[in-house]
This record gives sequence, structure tokens and C-alpha cells, in this order.
Amino acid sequence: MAFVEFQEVRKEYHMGDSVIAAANGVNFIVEKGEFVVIVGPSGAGKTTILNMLGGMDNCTSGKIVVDGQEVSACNDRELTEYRRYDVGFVFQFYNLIQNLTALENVELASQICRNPLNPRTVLREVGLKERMDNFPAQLSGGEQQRVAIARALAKNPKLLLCDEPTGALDYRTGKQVLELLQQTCREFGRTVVVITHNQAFAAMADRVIHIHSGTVQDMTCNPNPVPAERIEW
Amino acid sequence: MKAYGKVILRSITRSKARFFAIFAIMALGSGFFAGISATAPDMRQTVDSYLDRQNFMDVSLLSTLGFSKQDVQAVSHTKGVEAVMPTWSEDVMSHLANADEAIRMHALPEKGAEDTGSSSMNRPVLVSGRWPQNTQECVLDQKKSLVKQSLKLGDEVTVQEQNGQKLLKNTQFKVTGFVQSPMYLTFTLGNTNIGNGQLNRYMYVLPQTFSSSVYTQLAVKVKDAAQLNSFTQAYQDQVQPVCSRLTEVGKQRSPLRKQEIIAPEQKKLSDGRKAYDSQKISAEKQLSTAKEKLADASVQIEQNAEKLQDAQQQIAEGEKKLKEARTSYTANEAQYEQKKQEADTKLSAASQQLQAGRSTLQKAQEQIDSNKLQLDAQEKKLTDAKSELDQQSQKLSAAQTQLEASRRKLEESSGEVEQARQALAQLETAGQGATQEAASLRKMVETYEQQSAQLKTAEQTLEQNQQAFQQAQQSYKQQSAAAQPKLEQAQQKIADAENHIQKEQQKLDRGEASYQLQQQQAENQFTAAREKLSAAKAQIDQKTQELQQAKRQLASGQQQLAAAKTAFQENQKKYNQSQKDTQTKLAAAAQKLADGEKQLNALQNPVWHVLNRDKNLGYNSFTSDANRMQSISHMFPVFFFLVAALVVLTTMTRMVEEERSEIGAYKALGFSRKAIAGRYLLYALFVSLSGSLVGVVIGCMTLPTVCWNAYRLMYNAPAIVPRVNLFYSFISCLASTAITVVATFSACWAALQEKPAALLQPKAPKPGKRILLEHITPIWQRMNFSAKVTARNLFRYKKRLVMTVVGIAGCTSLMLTGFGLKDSISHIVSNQYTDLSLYNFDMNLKSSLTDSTKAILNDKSHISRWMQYAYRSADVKNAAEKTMSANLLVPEQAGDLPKFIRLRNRRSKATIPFGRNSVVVTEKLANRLKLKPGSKITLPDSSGKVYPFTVTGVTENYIYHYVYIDPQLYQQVTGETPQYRSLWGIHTGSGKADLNRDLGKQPEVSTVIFMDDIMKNFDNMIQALNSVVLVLIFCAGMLSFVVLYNLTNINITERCREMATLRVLGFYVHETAEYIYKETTILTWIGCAFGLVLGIFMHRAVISTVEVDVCMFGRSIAPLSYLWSILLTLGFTAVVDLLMFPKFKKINMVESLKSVD
Repeated sequence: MAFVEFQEVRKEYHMGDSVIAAANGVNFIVEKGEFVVIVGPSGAGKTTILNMLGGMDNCTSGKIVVDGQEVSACNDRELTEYRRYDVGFVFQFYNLIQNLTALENVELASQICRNPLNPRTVLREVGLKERMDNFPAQLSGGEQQRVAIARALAKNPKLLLCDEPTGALDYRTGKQVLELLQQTCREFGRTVVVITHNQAFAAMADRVIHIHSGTVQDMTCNPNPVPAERIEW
Repeated sequence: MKAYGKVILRSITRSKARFFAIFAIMALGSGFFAGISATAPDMRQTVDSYLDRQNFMDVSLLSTLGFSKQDVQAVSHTKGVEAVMPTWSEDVMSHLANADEAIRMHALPEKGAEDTGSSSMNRPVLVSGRWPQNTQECVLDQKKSLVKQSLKLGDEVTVQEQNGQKLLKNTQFKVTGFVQSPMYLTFTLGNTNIGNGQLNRYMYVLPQTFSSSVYTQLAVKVKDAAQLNSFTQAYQDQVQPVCSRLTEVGKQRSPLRKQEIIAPEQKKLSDGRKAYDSQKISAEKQLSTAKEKLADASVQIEQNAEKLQDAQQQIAEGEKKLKEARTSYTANEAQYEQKKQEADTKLSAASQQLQAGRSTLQKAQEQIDSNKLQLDAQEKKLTDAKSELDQQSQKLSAAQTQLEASRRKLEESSGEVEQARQALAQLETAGQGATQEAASLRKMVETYEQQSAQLKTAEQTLEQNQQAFQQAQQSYKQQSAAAQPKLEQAQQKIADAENHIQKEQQKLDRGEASYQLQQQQAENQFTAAREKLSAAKAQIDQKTQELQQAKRQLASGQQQLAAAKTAFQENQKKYNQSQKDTQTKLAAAAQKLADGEKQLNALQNPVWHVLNRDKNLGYNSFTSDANRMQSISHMFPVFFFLVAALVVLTTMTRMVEEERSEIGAYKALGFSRKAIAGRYLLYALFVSLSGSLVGVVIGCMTLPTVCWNAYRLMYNAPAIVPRVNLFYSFISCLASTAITVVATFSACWAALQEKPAALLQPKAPKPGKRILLEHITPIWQRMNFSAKVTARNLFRYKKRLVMTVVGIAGCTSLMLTGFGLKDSISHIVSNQYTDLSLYNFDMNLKSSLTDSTKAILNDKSHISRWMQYAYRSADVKNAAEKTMSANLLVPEQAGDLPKFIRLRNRRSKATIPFGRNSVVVTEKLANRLKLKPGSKITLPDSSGKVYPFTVTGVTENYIYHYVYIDPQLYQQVTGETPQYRSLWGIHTGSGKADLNRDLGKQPEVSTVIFMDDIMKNFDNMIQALNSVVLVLIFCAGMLSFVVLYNLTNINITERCREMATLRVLGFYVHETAEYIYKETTILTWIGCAFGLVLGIFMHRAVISTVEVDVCMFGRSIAPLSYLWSILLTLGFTAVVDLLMFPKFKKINMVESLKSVD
């Protein structure tokens, strides 16, 4: 059985009288330790899929299984626990707590999970050894995103979900972040799912899932993924 | 414009929490302000209309010599005077409710108490019963003070006029009703110069009850003053000129009035002088006659004394004579006795001789008698023998006769026998057949033979007997012949002896006769002598009696004389006395006359006292209470408005921030700043106006009533009619609207300054910052992660920090003030009666203590200790001539006082010594008169004369004001001995009822009051104050609720993204909530701490403002009150947290994280 499995997952939003299906029967699988890139144009339903995968949102129908656990059947509390122990999130806009330093932001996450990594070590590993005691406002975008990644990693999650992690970054820092994510996957064997509209990222993935209009258009496995530093966009 | 309005309406419906926050804080702030501010005006309005309704006088005139009809005329013609009501009032004493009470009697208006004319002033309100209809009836005040109402309708009240006043026609009244008078607004009625100085009741009677033609008081109504509120300057301005004019009238009338009084008095005086002269003459005359009488009496006594002397002498002589007579009598008696004895001896000797003679005779007689007996015996023998012989001879003759008979028989039978023998022989011949007949015949023959034999023997015996008889007869004859001479001889001898005796007997008889004669003679002699003696004795006795009689007479004579002497002396004394008396009386009369003349000469012109309403105790204390209420109303609302401003500012700021992009859009669309700002301003205006209008109405309708009801515990006035005070409502609404508008404007001003492009951009989040605490490494390092986060967050939003802390502090302080107010008031009683007063019962006496009462008091099983003290209410004046009424208390023994009352400094608890020269005043009195040890004060003695004293100490005290004075010092300074007519005691607790009964029975005991009863009464009264405290607590609670609700609401909306992040990271809902609640809780604690400090000050300020004159409220707040304030504040926080919890659940992670902030 696959590590992550989506079976006919649907997500519908009610807008007044009309029903809009953000996910319209999504099916895919992800194996453990894979670097997965989900690509698709804006509004294709990528984020919806990620939200459902990350336990932030429920699906209307279908089945989502992560590491044997049926996430789609979880209640609020179980979802919270799932997020708490199994998932790490990286957002496009970092979502750091402004009033906490880089280190504290990481600590905030690490203090609530079972086998956290040392926040300092993680920060050092993401290259922020010198900026640990800085507030988010004092850090550059890339640095902030690295703090966000460190925060996600420090939780030692089964699954690292990244929603447009480079979306607010310039090319160079974006690349660095991608490198960091790939490195995490390769070195720690962690399953990483990256959502992007950027087709270029597909090259570096073990598995690429193409989303269009709320359905999986195509899912390809890439036997020879390119290292992140070599991809261009 | 339609769309514009819609936007505003939508803003409201879209964010109910925000709308509620502003609405509530505005309602609360303006309602509280308007309500509290309206309280004082409402109170004044209520009392003013009450006074107008009862036509309360504007000016009261009193004069030292009363008012005549001319005075009344003069006053009524004074400019500005609308009406004058001449009336009477007098202070009298009565024994009511088991205590002596001072009562002020007032006359009802002439036209009746219901008359509404302007000249019927000070009309009392009938509470129950009916108005008096004759001079024997009265209405009393409706007494609601501490002592239980013991009088009921129909009871009799007997009053005594004091100080020689005689104004009343009648002193006994039936209570027909109970009233409430506008002259007495407070339950404390004031002072009087009778009794113990305290006025206990007032009474209204018909004016006819007063007999005097001189009025004691003129009640004056000032023209056009009634329309004005009495508590305003306008009223003062209206009344003051009239007062001045009346003072002038008084000065003019004064000498005239004096003349009115002097004229008749002078006449009286001259009459008196005449009477004195005539009386003096008659008295002198009386004295001289008495003197003469006395001289006569003296002479008589002397004469009588001489007479008595003579009598005494005579008696002495008589006594001497009697003595002599008695001596001779005794001698005679002795002689008589001797002679008698001698005679007796002689007589007894003679008697003995006679006796002896007689006994010899007796013996001789006896001899004779025995001889005679012997003779008789011999004669008898002879006779006996003869009679025997006779007998024998008879027997013999009888036997002869018998024998003869027998012989004849035999002879007769011898014929038969012969026949028988013949027959026998025939028979024998006849043969045998005739044997039987033969045998009987043989037998017959044999019997005949036997009998014939027997007869032969008997004849023989008879012969023998005849022979023996003849022999015996013979012997007898011989013997008799021999004895006869002898017998005759003996008989002769006896006869001789008898003769002899006869002769002797005769001799003896003669002797005896002579003896008897002699004896008779002697006895006769003696009897005569005895008679003489007894006659002499009788004489002597008589004489003695006579003498004694004489003596008795003498004694009585002497007694009489002595009595006469004493009587004389007494009369003499009396005379001297009456002489002296007459002289003193005359002197006194002369003095009186002189005094009268002097008085008359010294009679000063009467002084008119022109008293406006401020001089009325009830009116005055009401004025100051209303003013106090006013000052409170300035204190509290400031808080509410401050917090309201903060709430509105933060809320509106948040609103503007939330709608930042919208503002940007409006701006980009070309809306003017005015239009954009107007939207928010209108919103704010709408919310604040509606909120404050609702608040104002609620506040005005409730708060004045609640506060005035608490005040009415001390006032006799009608309830407030709730109304919306337009002035304060307007002010209140204006203030709250202004605050909201200013806050709103300042909130959107910054946003309006920005360029539309910038506005469309999300506002950069407030950057994190290191806080001061982080630099204190030791503390910071010890804090755990979440504590650090919380700490940093707290200081991140300073505006909210301030708002919360101020809001919570306000809430806590208000509650603490409320609770503290309750403590202060309720502790008065326990402080005064359990901490300070060591005594637990108080007694008032009518006269000095009797032994039986002392015995009860000295019973150690009930009463451990007691002391007497003198007590009077008096005016204390400080060096600056400021006066306050206080109780003057002089213990009988200075050293005893500290055993009954704790004299100590309130703060340091240090004991204040009391002993020689001590003058200790109570704290509030000291504060009011600015006294400290060493200050000079003056105190009046019981006659009102004023003496200086130096304060030696200030002691803690809560109820009433006291001046404790060392008795020696008091006597030394005033020269007056205090009347110790009150008593404190400490009873051991058990048997209170018995003690009360026993003491109450004592004739001199007027009242016995137990402190625990007083405490109970006080406690009941204070219960009512809880309503005020409740109002405070409720308002405070509302305040804290609104503040916390708003704060939490803003916190959540503002930090929605943060919350979402935390949720995404896997924080549970409750952990997310805690993240915020922790901050709220900490802020609540900080607010609480500030609030407690603030509360202490506020409580102090409020206490000193609301405190009534006679009490010092407790200055301390009970620990429990702090606890309650904290707990309630925390409780409100908890409620708000609970209400807000659902909001955390509703945070939408996806939505919150989508947008950039």
C-alpha cells in the first residue's frame, strides 16, 4: 500500500445556490520518501488537495489515506493530532509568528510534538545559525521561508507539505529553498509534497502529479530527478 | 446616500460584537454618569417640593423676650415678607418609653394643619391617626430611630415644663396621631438646653394649648421664594435681603419690646416694695409681743420653783416623824412579843399539871374497871353453874316423865303379852300347823320381855342421875354459900374506889376551870395589846402613803417645772429663730426687691435671632449630604468615561484596520476623506448615541432612587419620583458621543492620510520586539516558552494593555470601594461596640444610685465591673471659634475610664493615657475642629458658662463625638460638681434578661441599654445600604465585562492569522485559546492589583465624602472584601473567556492563511 493515497476525493464549496467542485474525483498515490511535485495552473485545485492532505480541510467524498490512517474519516480533534504529529507545513507567505524570534518560531512547533528535532540544530542545518535570535521582520524572505521550513522539519513530520514555497521569493533564494527541501527528502528520507504552478520544478521530483480543473490529469514518475540547483525557470 | 446608509447598517449587523462593545460601554458610562449626577439634583428637587408642599418657613425668628403682637405687625410689614405665622414652641420633659425624654412642643398652624394658606407654615404630614381636636390632644413625631417606638395611638403623654416656664394650659395629652414635620428632616432632632441636652421627640398641639400671649417664634415666608429651589443661589439671594431687613426690624423693635415688658414689671416692683414695708412692721410687732410673753413665763416659772422647794422641806419633816413613830412601834411590838411568850410558858405549865392529874385518874378508873370485870366473871360462873343445874333438873324431870310413859306402855303391853302367851300355849297345843303364828307370837313375847328389861335399866339410870344431880346441887349450894361474902366484899371495895375517883375528878375539873379562866384573861390582854399595835402600824402606813403621795406630787411638780423650763427655753429659741427668720426673710425680700430693681434696670434689650433655613439642622444636614452626593457623582463617572474612551478607541482602530483595503478602495474610487471618515463617524455616532440614550434613561430611573433610599435611613422625607434629568442626560450623551467621535476620528485619521495604493497593500504586521524583561536574563531564562511568548505579546499591544489594565483596575477598584463602603459602615458598629467599648450595658439614672441597685451591680456573678459618669451634650469650640456638638463625658473616677472604653490611636493602636488633667477628644471631632494634643478648646458647664480646656489626646471613635474629661480637672476649672447620673457596666454575659428586669425595677433607674441590642438595630439599618453596594458592584461588573469582552474580541480578530498558524501547526483549540487567555488572565491580575491600590484610595475618598457628621466610618477594608473584589473580577474574566471560546473553534485556517497580512 502506498504511503499516501487519494481515492476519488471530491471537495465542493457552496457559493449561494451553486456548487463549485474544487476537487473533482482526485486519485493519486505517493510512496514513502518520494519528492512529489503537484503542478497545475492557478485555480486548478492544488491548494485544496494540499489542505485536505494536510488535515486542514475535510473532503466532501472520497478517501484519503496517509500511512495507513484514513485522514478523510478523522474528526476535528483527530485532524489536529494528525497535523500535530504527522505533518509539516511550509506556506507561500511563511506564516511565522511575528512576535517570536526565528528560534522561538521553531520551538513553538517543536514543543508540541513527540520526537522533535533540536530547534537550534535544525536552524543551523537550514543555514540560519547567525539569525536564530532575529524576529521575522528582521529576516529576508528566503530566511523567513527557511525558518518556516525549519519549523516544519523540527516537528519531525512524516509528511512535509509545501504550498508554493518559492512563490514570494526571488529566483536565487527560491532555488536555495528548493535545494533545502530536496536535501531534506534525500538525506532524511522524508516524504515531501510541493505544490507549484511552476512546471520547471517537475524535473527535480520523483513523482509529478498534474492537476487540472480539480482532477489529476497525469501522474508521472521520474526515475532520474535533477538536483534542484540544476533546474532553471 | 442610500448605499452609504446601507454600508453603515451592514457594519453594525456584520460585527455584532463590536457594536455591542461600544453600545454597552456607552450605555454604562453615560447611564452611570447621568444617574449618579442626577441623584443630588433629584434629592434636592424632592426635598424642595416636599418643603414647599408643607410650606416650610424661609426664616425663623426667635427672640430672647418673645414676640408681642406689635412685633408681629412690624415683621409682617417688612418689605419682602409674604406671610408671618406667630407661633409657640417649648422644650419639655416627659417620661416616655421607660426613659426621660426631651420633647419640643410646637403649635399647629392657627387655621389647622391642612390649611394651605401661606400663613400656615411648617405643616406636618399626618402619617397615621388624626389631628388633635382639643387642647388635651397631640400628635407626635413618627419615631424611627434606634429606640423602639413604644407609644401608640391613644396613649397619654404627660409633660413637665422646665426652667420655671409656664406656657401650657395643660400638661397631659392624648396621642391622636403621628406626623412627619418639614422642620425635622433628619432623625437626629438636635440639641436642647434641658434634660441630657438631646432632643428626643417633637410634638404638635393646638395653638390654644399655649396660654401665653407672647409668641416664642415667628415663622416668616419670603415673597417669591417658594418658586425657587431652596438649594440654589437664587433662593439665597431672595431670602438674604429679607433676613437683613428683619434683623433691622429686630433692632428697632428691641427697645420697644423691652419697654412693654418693663412697664408692668416696674409696677409690680413698687407694689412689692409697699408690701414689704407693711409686712416688715407687722413682723416686728409680732416679735415684740412674743418677747413680752416670754418674760411673763419666766417669772411664773421662778415662783413655782419656790413653792416646790417648800413642799420638799415639809416632806422631809414628815419623813423624819414617820421614822420615829416606826422606831417606837418596833419597840412596843418587841415587848408585846416577850410578854406573850412568858404567859404562854405559864399557861403551858398549868396545862401540863392538869394533864398529869387527869392521867392518874384515868389509871385509877382503869384499875376499878378491871376489878369489876373480875367480879363479874365470878358472878357469871355462879350463874352459869346454877343455870346448868336447872337444866339438869329439867332433863331429869323429862326423863322421869318418859320413864313413866314407858312404864304405862309396858303395862298395857303386858296384857297383850299375856294374851299372846295364852295364844301361844294354845298353839303349842294346837299343833304344828300353827307354827307360824306361834313364831310371831313368841317373838312378841320376846320383844316385850326385852322392853321390860330395857325399862328396868332406864329406871336404874334415872335413879343414878337423880342421885348425881342431887350431889351437884349440894356442891353448888356449898360453893355458893362460900363465895357470897367474898363477892360482897369486892363489891364494896370497888364502890369505895369509885367514890375516890369521883372526888379527884371534881378537883381536876376545878383546876381546869381556873386554868381556862386564866388563859382567857391572858388572851384578852394580848388581843388588846395587838389591836393597839396594829392601830399604830396602820397609822404609820397611812403616814408613809401620805408621804409618798406628797413625794410624787413633788416629783410631778418638779417635772412640770422642768417642762415649763424647757418649753420656755424652746420658746426662747423659737423666738430667737423667728426673729432671725424674720430678719433673713425681710433681708431676702429686700434683696429680691433690690434684685428685681437691678434686673429690671439690667434688663437688656431683647435680641432677635433671624434664622434662615441653613440654621435648621435637618435642612442643613440634607444640604451637605446632597453636596456630598454631588461630589461622589464627580468621582466615579470619570472612570467609566476613561475606560469607555479607551474601548471605543481600540475598537474603532481595529475597525478601521480591518477595513483598510476598503478605505483604500473608496479612496481609489475618489471618495473624499470627509465622506470616508464620515462613514465611521456616523457609525460611531449612531452606536454611542443609542447606547448612551438607553443608559441615561436606565441610569436616571434607577440610581437616584437607590441612593436616596439609602439616605432615607436617616431622613424623614418622601421618596424620589424618578425622572430623566435632561441636563445631565444631555451632558452625558454629549460627552460619550464626543469621546466616540474623537476616538473614531483619531483611529481613521492615520489611515486617511495614506495613499490609496498603500492602503490597498496589506499593512505590515507589527514587528516583534524584544521587551525589557528579556534583558533581565535571570528571570527571562527561568520563564518557560509560553510564558515568554505571553510576556512579549503583552507588551506588543500597549494600547490594549492599558485599556485592559485600566478597565479591570476600574472594575476592581469600584467593587472594592463598594465592598469597602459596606465594611466601613458595618464596621462602625463592631468597631465601636466590640473593639472600643469594653462596657456592654449603659444605664441612665433619675436620681443617685440606691443601695439595692448597688447590690445588684456588685453581684460579681453577673457584673464584673461598673462605673458612674456624668454626661451632657455640649458645644465644643476650637481656637478658631468653630463649633461642633459633642458629648461631654466626665467619669466619676478618672482611672476607671480606660477599663470601660479603649482610648487608643487608631493607626498605631497605642493607648492614650487618661488620668489627672486629661482631656481626650474623639477622632472625628478632632479632625473637624483641627485638634491635636495641646490644642485649646472651650466647653460650657451645665449653665452654659464657657471654660477653657487643653486637649491631651485624640482617641479612636466611630459613633458620636465625645470629650472625656478628668473629673478633678472639670471641678477645678468649672467649680461645678458633675451629676453622675449615668453608668456603664460589664455584665458577664449570662442572665442578661434577668439583669435587665432587676435593674429596670429599681426606682431610680431610667433606662438600661444593652449594647448588643443597639448593635442589632444598627445592623438592620445598615442592611439597606447593601443596595448601593450592589449598584456599584453591578456597574463595576458590567464595566469589566464589556472591557474584557471587547479586548478578547479584538485580540482574536486581530490575531486571527496567528491563531490559524497555531492551529495548522497542530495546536488544539484549547491550546490556542490559552495562548490568548493567558494574556487576558495576566492582564486581569495586573488590573486587579492596580485596582486594589486604586480602590483603597477611592474608598478613602468616598468615605470621607459620604461620611455623616455624627459617625466616623471605618477606614479599613476587610480582607474578605479584597478577596471578593479579586474573585469577582476573575469571575467576570472567566465568563468572558467562556463566551469567547466558540470563536476559537470557528477560526478558518484555510481562509486566514490564504491572504497576506
